[in-house]
Order: sequence, then C-alpha cells, then structure tokens
Amino acid sequence: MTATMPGSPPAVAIRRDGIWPRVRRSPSTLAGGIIVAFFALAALAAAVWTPYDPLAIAPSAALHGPSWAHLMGTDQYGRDVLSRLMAGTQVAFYVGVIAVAIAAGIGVPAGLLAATRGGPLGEVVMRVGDVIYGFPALLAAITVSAALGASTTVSMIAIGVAYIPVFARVTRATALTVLSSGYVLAARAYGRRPLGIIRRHVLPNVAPILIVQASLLYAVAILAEAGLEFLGLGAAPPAATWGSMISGGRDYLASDPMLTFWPSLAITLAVLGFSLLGDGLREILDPRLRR
Amino acid sequence: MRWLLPVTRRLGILAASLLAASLLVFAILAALPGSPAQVILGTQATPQSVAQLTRQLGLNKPLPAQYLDWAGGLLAGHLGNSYISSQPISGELGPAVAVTGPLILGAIFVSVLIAFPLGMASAIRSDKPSGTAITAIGQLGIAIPTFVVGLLLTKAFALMTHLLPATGFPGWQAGPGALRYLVLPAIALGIAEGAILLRFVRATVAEVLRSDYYRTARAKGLRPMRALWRHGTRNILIPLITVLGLEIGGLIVGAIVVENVFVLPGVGSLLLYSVSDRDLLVVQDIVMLVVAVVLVLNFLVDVSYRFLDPRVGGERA
Amino acid sequence: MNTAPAAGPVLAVRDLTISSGPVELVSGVSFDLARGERLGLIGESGSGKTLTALAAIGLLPAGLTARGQVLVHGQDLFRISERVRSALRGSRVAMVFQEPLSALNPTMRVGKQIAEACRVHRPASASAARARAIELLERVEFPDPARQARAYPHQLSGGQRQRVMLAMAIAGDPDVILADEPTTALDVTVQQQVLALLSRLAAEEGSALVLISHDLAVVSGMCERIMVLYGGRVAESGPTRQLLTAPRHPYTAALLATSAAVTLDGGGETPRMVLPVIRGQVPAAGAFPAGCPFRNRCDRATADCEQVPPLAPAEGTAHRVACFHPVEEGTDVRPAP
Repeated sequence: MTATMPGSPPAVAIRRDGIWPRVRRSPSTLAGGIIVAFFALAALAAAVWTPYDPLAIAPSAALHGPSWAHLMGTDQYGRDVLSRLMAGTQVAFYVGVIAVAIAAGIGVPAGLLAATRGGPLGEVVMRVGDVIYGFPALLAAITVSAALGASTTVSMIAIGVAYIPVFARVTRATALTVLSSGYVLAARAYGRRPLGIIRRHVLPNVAPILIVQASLLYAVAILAEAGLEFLGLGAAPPAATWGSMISGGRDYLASDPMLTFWPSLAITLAVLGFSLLGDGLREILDPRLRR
Repeated sequence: MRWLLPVTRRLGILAASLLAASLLVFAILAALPGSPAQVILGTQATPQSVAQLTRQLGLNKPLPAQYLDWAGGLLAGHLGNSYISSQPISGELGPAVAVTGPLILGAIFVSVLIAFPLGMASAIRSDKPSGTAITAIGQLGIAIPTFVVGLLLTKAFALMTHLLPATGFPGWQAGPGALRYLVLPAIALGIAEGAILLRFVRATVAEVLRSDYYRTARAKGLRPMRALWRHGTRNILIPLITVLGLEIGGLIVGAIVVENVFVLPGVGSLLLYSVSDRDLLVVQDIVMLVVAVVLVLNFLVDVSYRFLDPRVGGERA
Repeated sequence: MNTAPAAGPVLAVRDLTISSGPVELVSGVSFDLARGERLGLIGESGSGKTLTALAAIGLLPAGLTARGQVLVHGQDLFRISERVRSALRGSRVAMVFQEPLSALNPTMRVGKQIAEACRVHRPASASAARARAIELLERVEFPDPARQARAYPHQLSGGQRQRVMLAMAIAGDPDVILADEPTTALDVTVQQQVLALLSRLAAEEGSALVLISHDLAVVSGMCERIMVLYGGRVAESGPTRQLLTAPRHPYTAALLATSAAVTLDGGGETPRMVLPVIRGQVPAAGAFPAGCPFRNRCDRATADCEQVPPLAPAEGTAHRVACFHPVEEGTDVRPAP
C-alpha cells in the first residue's frame, strides 16, 4: 500500500484490498446475492417468455394440481401458476426500483445538502426527516390509495417517500465524516472545488452504504407491496402479483393450499434474499470503515 | 428543572408535527377528483341533489375553511359524521378500537415472549450453531409476510384442527369468551413483531456480553446466564420497552392486515371499508388518529430517554 | 479454607498460544506460579500480557482460539466445562481489572456487588453476605464501610473503586490474584496506596499474585520474580534482583535504560538530561517480524534471529532468556547518545 495521509477516506483501503475475499467469507452476502440473482434472472426471463400468458383464463383447466403441462398447477381461473409467479417477479423488481429511486433520489441530495451547508438548515432537514420517518409507510400508501385510487406506482412512491429520511441521514453522516477527514481538508486547501470533492471523495464512500440501504429498502418495498396487493390496494385485479395471488387463493386454503403456498414462498425468499444481502454487505463494510 | 427546556422544545415539535401531519392528510384526501356527494348519490343523481348534498356536507366551503372545521372538530373531540351512513363516526370507531386495542396488546405480549428469551439465547450462543439457527429463524420471521403467517395459523389451528375460530369476532357483549377470536390474530401479529424485536434484543444482549462489568461478574464466578440476568436485565429491558413504543406504528399497520385476514371488526377493517366506499371523512379521521398516536408515543419515548438511560444505542429498522 | 494439592503450583501455564484467526497474539508462554509467590508480568501494550491473564482465568474474549494448558487447582481450564470453570473463578483464581469505573456495574451499589462475590461460591443469606461485604470494605481501608457500601460506583473516587475491586477479588479466598494494571488508571498519589493494600491483602490471604504492568518500577517493588513479554513471547524471566541488575535480553536492558533518564557530561558545558529511547515502534498485532519479535528494533540482531530463539537458562535455571545474542553481564546497556 502506498503511504496514505492520516485520516484518508477508507474507500482507498477497500479498493486496494478488494472486496471479493470478504464477500466470499460472508454466508449472508453469498446466500442473499444468489437469491437476488435468481429472482433477477427470473424477472428478465419473464420479460421475454413465460410458459403461458399469466393473464389467460382457461376455466376448463381450473385448479389442476402440478403436472407436466403446468409445473405448479393452475389457479381457480385456470391460469398457470408458474407463469403468474414469474410475472410477479417483474412487479417485485419494479416495486423496489421506484421506492429506491424516490428515497435515494431525494434523500441523497438532501443529505449532502445538510452535510455541506450544515447549520440550522441541516438540523431542520433532519427534523423534518424524523417526523416523516415516524409515519408508518404503509399507512401513507393506504391514504394515498384512498385519495388517488389503488395503484402500484403511487403506493411505491409513498413507501419511497417514507424512506427518504433514512437515506438522507445515512448520506449526511458519511458525508460529514469524509468532509472532515484530513485528506479532504488538504484537498480544499489547495483549491479543489466543492463539487469535485463531493464527486471524488464523498460519493465513493457513500455509495457502498447506499447499496446496503437500497437492498434493505427493496426488502421492505416488496413486503409492503405484497401487503397492499393482498388488501386489494395494489394493481388492478387480473394483474399477476404475488400478493394478489395469495389473496385470491384464500378461499381455497382448505382444498388447494398450494395456490397460497407458491406466492408466499416467492415473497419470503425475495425478501429474505434482499435482507441477507443488505445485512451481509453492511457487515462487510462496517468494520472496515471503523478501522 | 434542567429538563424543562428540552421537554418543552420537544412538545413544541410534537405540536408542529401534528399540525403538519393534519395538513398533509387533509391535503391528500381533499385533492381527489370527483365529489363525495356524487359518489354517495350515485351516477343517476341530479346535479341539484348533488349540489344540495355537497352543501349539506359542508364540502362547498373553501378548503382552508373545511380544514379548520375538521381540525377544530378533532381537537374538541368531534369526529364528524360518515358521508355514507350519516352516523357519528365516533360511534363506529369506539367498538373498532375495542377490538384493535386488545389485539395489539396481545401482539405485544406475544412478541416480547418470543423476542426476549430467543434474543438472549442467540446472543449467548452466537458462536454455536443453535445461535445461528435462531438468528436464521428470526430473519425468516421478518421475511414472511404477516398475512401469510395469519393464513398459516388459520390453516393449522382452525381449518385442520378446529382448536380456535378461523375468522370473525362476535363482539364483546358475547362475554370474555370472545377473546378466543383474538388469539390467532394476536399470535400472527406477535410473530412478525417478535422477529423484529429479536434482532434488537440480540444486539443489546451482545453489547452487555462485551461489557466490562459483565466480565467482572464472570470473573467473580457467576455463570453466564446468571451474570447476564443479574447485571444485564435492566440494560436490556429499558431499551426494549422504548423500541416497543417506537414500533406501535408498525403494529397498527400490521393490525390492518391481520384484521383483514381474520375478518375482525377493528380499526383496520373500518379503514379499509371506508377506503373502498370512499367514505373519506372516516379515512381522514382514522389516519389522523393513528398518526397522532404514533407521534405522541414517539414523543413519550424520546422524553423518557432522558430519565431512563442516556446511553441507549441501537439502530432503527 | 481452600485446600490445594499438597505441593505443586497454584497456577501452571504451559505453552499458551492465543490466536485471532491466522495471527498469533500470544505464542508459547509458559510459567508456574507457586503458592504465595509474586510474579510480575511486564510488557508494553500489544505484548500479550492482558490476554495471558484472561486466559489464566478462562475469560478470553470470543473469537480468539487458544492452545496449550492452563492448570488451576489441578484442572485444565481449556478442557473442563463452563460450569466447572465458573466454580473456579473467584474461589481459586480472581482478577482485578484495569479500569474500575467500567468494570463495576454502574447501576448497582458497591456493597451489593461485593456481597454477590461473597455468595457465589458459598451459600449465605442476603444479610450475612451484606455483613461480610461491610467487613471486606473495612479490610480494604474504607473509613465508613456501612455507609459507603450503599454508594454507586460513580460516587466513589478511582482509588476507592479499585479498592472495591480488591474486596471483590479476595471475597472468595482465592489462591491466585491476577491484577491487570491495577493502578494505571489511578492518580500517582493513590497508586502507591492501592499497591500497598494489594500486597498486604495477598500476604494475609496467602494468595499468589500475578501483577501485570508496563511499569518496571511498580513491579520491582512488589514481586520476587519477573517475566518480560514482547510480541506475545516471553523474552526473559527470572528473579527480580537478578533481572534488574543483570538483564540478558536486549529488550529488558533497553527497558531498564529507558526507565531512567541519563545525564550526559557535555564536556564542560552544562550536563543535559537525555531520555534514551528504543528505536522503532511496537508493531501492530500480526506485524511482528518472524522469528525473534524484537529483531527489527534490536541493534544486536543477525540472520540467526530469523528463527525464534528458545527460552534458555542464563545464570542457572531460574533466570532464562530467549535470545541468540544475550547481553553480557556488566555491559553498559545505555543506548549511545
């Protein structure tokens, strides 16, 4: 390692040592990563091809058990469960994207602002953030649904908004640490412009933590959206989402529990995957940064 | 009286937050297209009757006036009348709270029952497979949606074994036996919350295990569990209670889902029916009530930090 | 009254090696402690002295692996169950920690904490234990024990807190007291008092004492035998007087020299005080050189030193040194100006 000035931002250390060995040693990250990758592939595949049209009704084929024709059976309308499951994967990813985009898109600049301007403005921003954070995200989504009609996108915006404070706080904290490090103070002393400093020093250090939060937010978003779907507040009925599949399967719980089982498994695995990935990454990054 | 200033300041923030929240809630629900009167009377209604109903409901007044009417009414304890049924909302809300309240209390009881021993065990055995297993189960508990847990419990305990009722609630006038109908829902909600608390308990216990005073207790010859019990309990319970206070929002939201699964006539169900019926004043009132409860509890937790333990750590979510 | 095996050491450490993953923090440390004997363990931070003490009471932090043997009352701490180990702590081997403020439970009165130590191994009623706690407070020189037993740790001074720790340590009549830098966190004026008290208590109880410190002066006044640790290995060990007057390991010699300011004759000019230093710095854990851990700071190092020097007798078997080029007796060990 070349000689580094005291107080150098840790990003340098991480890049030098490489992150792969640590990733390999962390079972959560590996497990989470594999699960997420699996779902991502499923989503990509579903975009191009599914065994059957997820929305196609075939009353004569209703409630068939697993067979070669329908690997996971059919639901009460004759729709292929596997195809609907795959289509649901797309929704899950879409859902996370919106929430993270909102939360990070507004939260990160807000946090940077609070860190760089500091002073009373920063405090006010954080306070507002605290208030928003106290508001249960799902309730906000329900309220918004009441006003604007049920819609996945709108609900996810609500969830994203509820998480803006988390991203803002995390960004602000990291930015403050980096900005007060010796390395940055020196850079400012010889004239680097603030935007350049942010780009070169703050963002690379904030990025890993944001990835962790994004992963965790993904898990929350999927869970929340599934809940909204289940309550009937998500996408319109024929759409194939995991939550609505479970809701639809309720009446058949006694006779055909598999209708409920497969989407439940999908949700659980997806949430688990993103949670493990986020937690694992956080563990990897944290002790490094503290040193 | 050193604490008077910070407490007053937080009280001010609470008031400001409540005000802001009420404005926000009002703004969202007032911003929708169409008129409630139209929805109530249906598409066949004449424009005159729509206009008349609109005037009756006070919906033709300028928005700020409507807001003040509503907010002022809330402060005085008047929740207004439902647009659909024209009945006083408080009449509907009362019995609903009588269901949701005990449900949440039961869930809290179940969640602490799960989280406390399991969290301790998983922290103590963190290097053994049983500790990792508990952690894994905790992760699973968070990942499984509450409604799935509810459905699973329904299937296992009601459909297959008929031990407990699957859905519905006969009302408290049926006597304390009505409690049976709340058992499965409370467990379902409690499991989800317990998984969240488990992580927290584990982290707190791990902190105690790393502390110097725990080490001293061990050096005296106390066995691990005893040392933890005698020296760590207070440092674990206090943060646990404060976290619970902060989690009420999540519990209320979870109750909405659970009430749907088990068909309980609680606040959550009332909210959902009102949403689908477009009975917006009810929605407004309920949302505001929930937000107020959450904000007040957050305030209480915040303030109690000062008195109980200044060095409580732990992240949220 | 504790009964020990008729003869034999009260504490025997054999080839103790403590690792954190691939890094060895303590390597091959061995020593016996006879009944009533006082051993001083000297080393800078990072030398492994605290870990050795923690191993001797079976309280190594999680995440570390240990090999070797630690024999207390004839039992190997590494091979017995936690239940048996807990039974030994406090009754056979007790420990006094460095920072009494964090080592005491801040939310419990000190009397209650001492009473707890009394009740762990000997069933007693709460009032009996309380009485015993007050007795112990008196023994550790608290002027008003009954009242001061009700104090919380933060209400006491540093010296008083450490004396509470001493009371807790002797509550079980241990055979061995491990004192890890017991006075380092205290004011200088109080240090002597606490050390004197420790010495008296150990004598009264007939306990052996392992006194750990980085300060040679502290240890030399109280211990008959000294062991010098560097880089997780024993550099030198022997009777105090011999070690201090005729140190054989270059590190020990340097330690001695640096603990005394040297006045140089400036050739007619006013004499200056020069503080000798050992060149270089103590490396971080895992960064010690292979072979003799001191060789990168030692003026006498040669290619031989790439091997780990064995701990071999110097003047007779009691005085041992781990060095291929030990300092000759009588050499001027003061570093050149």
